[in-house]
Amino acid sequence: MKYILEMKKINKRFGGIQALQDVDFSCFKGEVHALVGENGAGKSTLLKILAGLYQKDSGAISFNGKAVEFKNPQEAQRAGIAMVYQELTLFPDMTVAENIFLNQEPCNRWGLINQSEIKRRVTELITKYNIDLNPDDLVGYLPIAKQQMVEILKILAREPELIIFDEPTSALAKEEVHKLYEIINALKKNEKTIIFISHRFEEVFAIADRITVFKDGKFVATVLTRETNQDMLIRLMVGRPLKDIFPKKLVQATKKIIFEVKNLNVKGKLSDISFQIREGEVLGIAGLQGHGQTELLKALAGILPKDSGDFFIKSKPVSIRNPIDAIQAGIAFVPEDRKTQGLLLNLTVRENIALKSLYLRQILNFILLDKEREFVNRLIKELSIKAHSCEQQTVNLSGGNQQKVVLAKELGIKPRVILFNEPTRGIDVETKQELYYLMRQLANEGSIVIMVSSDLMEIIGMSDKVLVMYEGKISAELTKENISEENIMRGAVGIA
Amino acid sequence: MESKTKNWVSEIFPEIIKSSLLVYLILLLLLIIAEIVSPGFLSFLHLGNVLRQASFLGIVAIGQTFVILTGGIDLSVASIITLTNVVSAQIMNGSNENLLLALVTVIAIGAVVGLANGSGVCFLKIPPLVMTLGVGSVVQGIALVYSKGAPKGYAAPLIRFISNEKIGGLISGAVILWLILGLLTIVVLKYTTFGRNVYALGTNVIAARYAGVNITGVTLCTYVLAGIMSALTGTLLVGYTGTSFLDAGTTYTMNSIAAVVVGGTSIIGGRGGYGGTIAGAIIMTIIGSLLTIVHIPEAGRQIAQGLIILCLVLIYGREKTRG
Ligand SMILES: Nc1ncnc2c1ncn2[C@@H]1O[C@H](COP(=O)(O)OP(=O)(O)OP(=O)(O)O)[C@@H](O)[C@H]1O
Ligand SMILES: [Mg+2]
Repeated sequence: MKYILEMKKINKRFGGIQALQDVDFSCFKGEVHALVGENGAGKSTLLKILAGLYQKDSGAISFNGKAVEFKNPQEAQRAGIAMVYQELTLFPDMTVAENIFLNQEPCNRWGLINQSEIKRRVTELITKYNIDLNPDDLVGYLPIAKQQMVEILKILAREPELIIFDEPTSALAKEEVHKLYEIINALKKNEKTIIFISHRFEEVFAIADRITVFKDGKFVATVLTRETNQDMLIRLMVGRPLKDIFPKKLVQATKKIIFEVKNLNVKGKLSDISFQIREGEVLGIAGLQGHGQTELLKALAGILPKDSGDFFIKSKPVSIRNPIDAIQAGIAFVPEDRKTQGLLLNLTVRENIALKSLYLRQILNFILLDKEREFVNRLIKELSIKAHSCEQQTVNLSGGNQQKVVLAKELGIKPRVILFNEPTRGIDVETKQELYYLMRQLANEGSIVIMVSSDLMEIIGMSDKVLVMYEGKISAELTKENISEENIMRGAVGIA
Repeated sequence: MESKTKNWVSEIFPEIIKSSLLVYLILLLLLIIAEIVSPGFLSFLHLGNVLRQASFLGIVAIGQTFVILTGGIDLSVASIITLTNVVSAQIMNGSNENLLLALVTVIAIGAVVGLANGSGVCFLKIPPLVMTLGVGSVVQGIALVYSKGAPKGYAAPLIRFISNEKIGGLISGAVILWLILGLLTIVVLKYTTFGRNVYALGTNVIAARYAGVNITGVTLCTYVLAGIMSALTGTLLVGYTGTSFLDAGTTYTMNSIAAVVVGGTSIIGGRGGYGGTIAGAIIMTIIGSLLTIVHIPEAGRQIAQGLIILCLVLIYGREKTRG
């Protein structure tokens, strides 16, 4: 077999940080190649260089046997390399079809855009890859998972030779993940080469032929998927084995109820939700995407106004009508999409982490800057956030480190209740483990921890109690040995 | 507290320079060009005049900076200036005794108009561009009705002194007022929770709301501030010209927005600050006065002014988006 892509001794520096150091990376034609490593290891940076988005400082790239040098993404695309970005790049006010053919619209002989041709081709793509999308829908109204599929179709419409996916599944639900596997398999049959970045092992093992590991901006190893296993990968990524990803669960819950929701209703979204959490319990909420899990968290966080229902923290009723009430009641909320809901991307790490708890460090509205820096630096250290300094713009952090900034911001209010919506999206295995232990520690210290996740292993591994949601209702409540993949799936399709 | 004041002073000035170095360089360049085109421009006397005029624009631009930073825009400042100009002249009627009443009245007017703008934006969800345009038109109409088309009254001696007389030949009272308000603005934007929330709002409304930022409160505050600052300028202008005009404010909408944008604040909000706007206001004033000096007819002046602003924003905008 012959390499279609060879990258040799690639170097890239950002200010004081050596993001890539003498990195080698190559791909065979027609293979699926996974790139893994801790947050900030340089994965996205390498592939952005390949896609022409960043310029390397030194090194050589050859593609299809020719030395290449891409000054911008258009040049890379012309050569047959396309990238599906970690960030969505769609225009919300345009339709699915318009987005897919943006900038490559087929024209009629008058030079006008041929709308019916666009629609025909998009329909063709949608049926070819068997995706549930309507070409006429406005992208802004689609759920994030669907938007991600549009993003992928947009790339496929250009028929590239080599396709780069940067954490394509982090925003996808299980069904769409499987769809993506199918798409990747179809592409592979057509002799296309695929590189993808992922933090999910099950996915790496499901579709990759080979796996390359990066650590701290350096190449560590390339291995054949069938000759490796999860423990070995973790050892390569982290530098040591990780034992017990999940902390020990509660042996026996106390009798003391510390959180209670009674008859929560939100018209058209949630009906008659009631549940209790005992001291020390971690509550997991599972279900297929779009059955009210996110809405439940939003209602608890005061973001979604409720029609009726009462919340009790330690038996005391709390009235929550808006996010400010929720913060005052000590309720923190880690939203699912860090770019649009969690972060002020253009502002610094310090400003982001401080934002939610400004009221704790002010005198007469004046911010106590010294305290703020101390506070921010402490959280940066506690969560080991990799940033040049607390004054770095958040947009320049690696994806996983951005997620940690969101987390730090929430922990800043010293919450009594923490609502996690997909908390481990895009973060590496070691940080995941740290986060799980942190959740457990918070629960042990008397905080109320509620987690919505589409990752079943995470739900099963972490929760002392699981609520499964179906069509806005709780369809199953599981504890202890009843928490199993099968029981959760039954609840998720409403047959519990 | 002692160490904190020192902390601020030592931080504010480098901060202004650092965050808006480019616009200050442009200002410097413009001054040099001005001196070449019109020798004597850099004289004490002339610079004093430029500063005196810039102070009026600078004060309006305080409000505009706040509004634009949140992602809004205020197109009604011109009308507010005109209305308050007319009203305050009539109330003052040449007497210092009436000055306080005039001030209180126009500040109330500014606040009410700002509140109307803010309410439309927050509660009726009308885009700021449309809301403030509409309100501006109404306010202009009120000024016309109030003055019956022929504004009466003239400046109280004190306000005439503040707006006109240059202490030490360089600095007028209005410039001192501008300086104080300007520094306050910088401090508020950088060192208060309110200021931080302004940036948060302009950067990402959803994330800001989730983080407990009082979106409605902050938005209302910025429009009210813009109204009050415009009202101040409206009154100061009575002192400057001695009397009032129905087009006293006309140029200020466009010029205040230009000052903010030339000063490096992003027109879509979230980025920038008042440090740059100060230079922006001076630049806009110099351009205006320079074009007058070289005897370009009004039409040519407007064209030249527009082109110069576009160039400045282009140079500046490029620089900013790259980062
Ligand atoms: N545009 C940029 N400006 C400054 N620093 C950057 C920029 N892009 C990336 N970096 C830095 O380079 C390093 C590598 O980042 P990169 O995004 O490649 O990590 P990654 O391996 O993709 O991590 P993750 O799994 O978290 O997405 C990080 O330390 C990051 O802060
Ligand atoms: Mg990345």
